[in-house]
Amino acid sequence: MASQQHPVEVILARGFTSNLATPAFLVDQEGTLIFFNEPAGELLGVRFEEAGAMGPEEWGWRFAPTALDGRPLQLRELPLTIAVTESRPAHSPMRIRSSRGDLHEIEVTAFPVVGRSGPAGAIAIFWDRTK
Amino acid sequence: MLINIGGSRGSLPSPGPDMLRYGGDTSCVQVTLSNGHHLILDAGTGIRNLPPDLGAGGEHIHILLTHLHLDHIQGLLFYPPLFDPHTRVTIWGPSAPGVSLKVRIARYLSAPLTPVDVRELPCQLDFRNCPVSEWDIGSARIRAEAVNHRGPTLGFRIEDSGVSLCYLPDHEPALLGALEDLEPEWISGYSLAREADLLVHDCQYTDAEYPSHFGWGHSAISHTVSFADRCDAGRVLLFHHDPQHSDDQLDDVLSDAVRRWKSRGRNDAALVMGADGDELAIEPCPERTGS
Repeated sequence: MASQQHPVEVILARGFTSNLATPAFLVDQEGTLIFFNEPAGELLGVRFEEAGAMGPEEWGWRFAPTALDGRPLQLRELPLTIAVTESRPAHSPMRIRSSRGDLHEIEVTAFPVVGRSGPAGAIAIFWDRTK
Repeated sequence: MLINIGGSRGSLPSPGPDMLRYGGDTSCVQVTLSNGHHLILDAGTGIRNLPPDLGAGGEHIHILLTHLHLDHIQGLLFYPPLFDPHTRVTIWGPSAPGVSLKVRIARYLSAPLTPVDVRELPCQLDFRNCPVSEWDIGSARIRAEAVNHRGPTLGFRIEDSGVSLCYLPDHEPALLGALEDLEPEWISGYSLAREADLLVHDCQYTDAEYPSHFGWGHSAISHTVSFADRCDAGRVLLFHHDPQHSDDQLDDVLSDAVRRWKSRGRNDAALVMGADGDELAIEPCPERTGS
């Protein structure tokens, strides 16, 4: 039996992000990474279909986010975490390491998805600062 | 539970000699509960075909609106119980940030669009946003969830005395991709429709018509069949017919649906084409009860 159906706002968010040319993450209200699009997969070096859903602890360290000065970023500092836990938009530059080992300097903007039933998750859009 | 279809058409009332068998009135379904009380699902022009004396015996009438597109509210000002000062009526609908349901409905049902303002209706009328959680009306337990259509739109699941009805008249679950490929958690409406004894579902387009209407919030017939199969609906009532579809074209839509349904190993008797004036008793799905 599959887990409970996502709220329609989250389903539509997946449809929206899957059609974006910019890399995007989608998490549910528990912070589980429930989808990332193909451009995000290019950036991270792994497709969502291969990686599958990940809990916040896993995606929080899997891509080894650091500040631009190299300081490791804690999960609670990440824009996506802030968007989910504090229900507000957040933005931050950072470096991440892809599963291929490449280092990317990116900017991340995250915002909450709030539906009819209240907060439902969050979306993060990534911008590659080197392009 | 028993349903009486007041109107099964979508988008626009469509009377005419080619529409006589299935009818041309827009979405409205009367539900008779096991305790004898009634719910009215949507208030399209088909509401004129419901018994005019509902509520005359003191029964509180509940009208549940999936959304506020005209084909779902246009009949409100033509429904006799709303003009009876002794009748209690509650209209339920989707919430929207910052604007009450009454104000949103009054935008349509007021001058210069209508001669009578919804605020002038003499019945004892109140408006309520559908709760996020389940709630009870009469002997029914009702759940409303947002589903994929244009604008805030609800689907309803109504359970009463061991049987269930799911009402999704305007629904485009295939917007995200092929329904066969999606996990259930990504299928809009899945939790409402899962194992419903009767699923009333959008069947607006043929598969040939759908590509030019992608994103308009409705289903192609193959999507309807696929959705019903994925949700394991007991019976399916095809609903919200395109106003351009004649009786003969709807026969073709039904034939196409039956072919697709049977190819999934399903019983073709479980598919019904909605027609104005039809009544249908909702019974437990025999495949699930083992009878």
